[in-house]
Amino acid sequence: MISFVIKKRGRVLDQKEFSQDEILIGRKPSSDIHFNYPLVSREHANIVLDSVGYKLVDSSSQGTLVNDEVVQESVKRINEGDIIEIKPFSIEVLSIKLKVDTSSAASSESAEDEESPFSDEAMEDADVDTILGAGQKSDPNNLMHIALDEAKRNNKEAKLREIIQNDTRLIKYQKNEIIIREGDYGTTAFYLLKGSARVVIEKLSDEALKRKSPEPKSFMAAFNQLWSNSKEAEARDLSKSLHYDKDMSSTQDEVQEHHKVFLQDVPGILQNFQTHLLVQGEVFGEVSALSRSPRGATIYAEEDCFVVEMRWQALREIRRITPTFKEKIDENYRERCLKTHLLLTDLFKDLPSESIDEIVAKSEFFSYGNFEWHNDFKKITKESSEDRIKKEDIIVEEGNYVNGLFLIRAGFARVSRIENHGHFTHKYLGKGGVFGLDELIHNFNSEHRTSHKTSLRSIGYTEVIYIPSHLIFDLVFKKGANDPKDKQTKIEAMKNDSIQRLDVDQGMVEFLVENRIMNGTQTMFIDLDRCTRCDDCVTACSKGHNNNPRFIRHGKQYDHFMIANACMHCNDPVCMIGCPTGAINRNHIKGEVVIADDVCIGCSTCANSCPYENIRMVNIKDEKGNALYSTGTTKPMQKATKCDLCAEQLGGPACERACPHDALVRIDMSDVNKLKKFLNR
Amino acid sequence: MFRQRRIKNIIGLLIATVLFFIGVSNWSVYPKFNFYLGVCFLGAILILLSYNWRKKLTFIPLGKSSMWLQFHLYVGILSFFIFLVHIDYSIPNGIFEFSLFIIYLIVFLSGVFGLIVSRSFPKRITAHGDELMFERLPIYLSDIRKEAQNLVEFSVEDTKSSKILEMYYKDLDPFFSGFANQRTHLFEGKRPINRLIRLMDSQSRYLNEKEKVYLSELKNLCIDKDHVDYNFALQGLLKKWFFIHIPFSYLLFLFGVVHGILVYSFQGGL
Repeated sequence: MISFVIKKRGRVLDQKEFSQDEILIGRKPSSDIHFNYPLVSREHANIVLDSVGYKLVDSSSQGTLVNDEVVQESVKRINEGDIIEIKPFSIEVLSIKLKVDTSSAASSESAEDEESPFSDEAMEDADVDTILGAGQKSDPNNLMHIALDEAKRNNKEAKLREIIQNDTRLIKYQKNEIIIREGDYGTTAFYLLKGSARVVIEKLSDEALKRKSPEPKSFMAAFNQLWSNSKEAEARDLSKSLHYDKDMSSTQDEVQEHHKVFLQDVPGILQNFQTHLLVQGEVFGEVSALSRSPRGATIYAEEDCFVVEMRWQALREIRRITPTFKEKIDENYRERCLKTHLLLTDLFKDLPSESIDEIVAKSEFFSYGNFEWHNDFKKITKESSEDRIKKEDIIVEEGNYVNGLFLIRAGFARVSRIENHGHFTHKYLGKGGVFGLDELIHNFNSEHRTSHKTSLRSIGYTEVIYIPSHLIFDLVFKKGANDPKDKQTKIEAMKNDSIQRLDVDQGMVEFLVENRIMNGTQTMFIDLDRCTRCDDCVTACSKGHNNNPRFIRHGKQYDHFMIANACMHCNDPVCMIGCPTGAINRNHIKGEVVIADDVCIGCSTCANSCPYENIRMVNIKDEKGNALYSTGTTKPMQKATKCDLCAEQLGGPACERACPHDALVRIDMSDVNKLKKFLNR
Repeated sequence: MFRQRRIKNIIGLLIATVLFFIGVSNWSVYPKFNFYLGVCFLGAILILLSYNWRKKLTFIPLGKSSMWLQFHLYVGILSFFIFLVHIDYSIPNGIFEFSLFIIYLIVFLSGVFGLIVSRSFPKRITAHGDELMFERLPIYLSDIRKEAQNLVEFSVEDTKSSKILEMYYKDLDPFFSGFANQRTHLFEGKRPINRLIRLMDSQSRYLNEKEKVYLSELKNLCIDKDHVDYNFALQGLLKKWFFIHIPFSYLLFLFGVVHGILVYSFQGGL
């Protein structure tokens, strides 16, 4: 099956999907992709499926281009993302799904995982035995032993072994080496196989964690930029760089070896910081891996130890096939995070400790959507709104019985109701959002029970906490205030908060949700009705970055508002997943996502992950303008670049300050009032 | 939001203007009054010029550019009242003073013009269609022209008729060969594009069905080209007015300083 987006001079005309083995493109009315345009031949080209995949066979007189290259000898193999050009039309290959022999297809999460084991070196059966503790006496506190015992009981041992073999890897950490650094984003969890590790519960300094945060320039250094900026595009001062000699063809293991970080002054840390010992058999890092939140604490090896690093897919699969393992992981979450999460929610922050403990004990967790939503996001944006909403997982459906409250633990959700034959989006909810409160308040106050008035749908990936109704009635509503009058006021306040919706043009709400713009904490909005296209914003950005602009004044548009291609410093920064060196990181004080240029090895992981195309790979030069190449190769040396919110500049983002007409603003999408004020001004 | 700001700023300007005229009525009897008023005027010009320097020093926290622009606008209006009093509401008769008078008028009027286009053109550009980057307009232009030429040349081969080709080179090539109809676009005029469309429609009766397809595509290209022209005209003017306003502002300041020195010298150091 193959699907395309068909455009004419950049404008989308149609989207088509084909399951047949041959697709004709041409002017002939019976063509599968029909262009009634004189420059297109009657039978211009065919897309043919063979044993390897799809290929384009050009039979035109005018010629066909694939990715800007003329199709030589009339045949060219095509892949996902390729652009076929038959001027003035372009056909973008959205997705290719080849038929797979179901007998050989594994039931694992994805075929891609099957093909690419986590470890660079193949995991032997003996390694799997060691990890699972096969042949050893079962330890009731060891999570892998628990998983193996349960898998054996459920005839799932082969499956468990397969997961371990494919989605985990064994790493040796040296004494004092950091395994997890607080604040980093990661999609893996760790199982301590041998040795011990220590959690530093309190926050360590960036210096201790060897983290490089951009420091604002001094006034004179900032002023100096007036004449010291390079005349060459993307020039770098090699004397200040650490890794310019790094060959970018290194494997992930080699790169990580190169970037090992050791904790200094460990006795001092033990004396001055609260720590907790982790012993053999414990799992850690699972909260961050499953909810894509930053690592909550730093963990280092207390002695030389062996750790099994698991992909999030492995963790999810093991949870699925071994319920006891899942319970233990959920128990860890309850102990480590849920109480803090509840106390940060307005609804629960005034509750007595014992009530919170009761809610913590009785809450349930669910996840919806696709954890790696960014992989197919670009494809989804080209689909119709009806198709898009159909693909969203329903968490709660309109009309359902109200049996509890839903809190968004991670990701985003859409609150919508049915309007004629479509769905009307009321608002979006992010981390900390509450759903169902309005109905619960109604049911608490009235004998006539109501059902859910709206639906809750997962946008991308959503983790929710479910709290049963009776707990809300008993612990929040009844015990929330002693005086009945106060109680009513409190409930009304909650109600107002719960029904707060984005009161702007409905089309804009749908646009923001469908394009996942609500992910941004510093989304760049440009009001085109006020923008004189003077480019002062771009010039200001460029001057603050050694004459290299870090955004493009171009992007998605709704009505007279443009969302420019500038890093949104997302709530869910998927770009940070998988950076092998930790070069892309989030500043813990101001929250901006920045790339440490001298640590970036130009692997493009972040640029490929960014769903909004706001990270650009650039070829770098030395100060004289000479191109730089990776050691021993002819491959140009690249760096990932993006908006850093002028972290090194004085006074905040230069783009916003430079706009003379108040056309450009940076908006935190969770700040509904600011957003409303801007859109309705 | 903008309305509230405008009301506040106008109130501020009114107060400043009233205070200025009260000052004028009280101090105009002093012999050195006009000299000091000229110094004030020169100071105001310096303040107005400093906005241009602020725009270059983007990496220094000097406040938002929009705040500076508001200040620039209202000081600019106030400067007009100072100027009127300074020239005693009459046109200067000396060559140098008259030049200075003209330069000020150019700066002031270009500023007013800039303000009007800056507030009205963006809405028109946005409403006209797809957003086009000014720097890329020459590329769009060349792409459209190339496509039009390919189309008409291929039409000869395909239809075995040179009618479309002849019409293109006779009537359409000048339109496709460069940015056209700029003045008309500034005034939202549609006559040139309507004329081309009409011309093509009138030729339609001489074409067979196959040729009509080419003609229809050519018409679409004309509309696309017209959009590029529209953007070039409006975006171009949004940039071009600065080339009058800024150099003349510096010239005004320079002439003002010379004028001050001359007045000071020829009045015997006052």
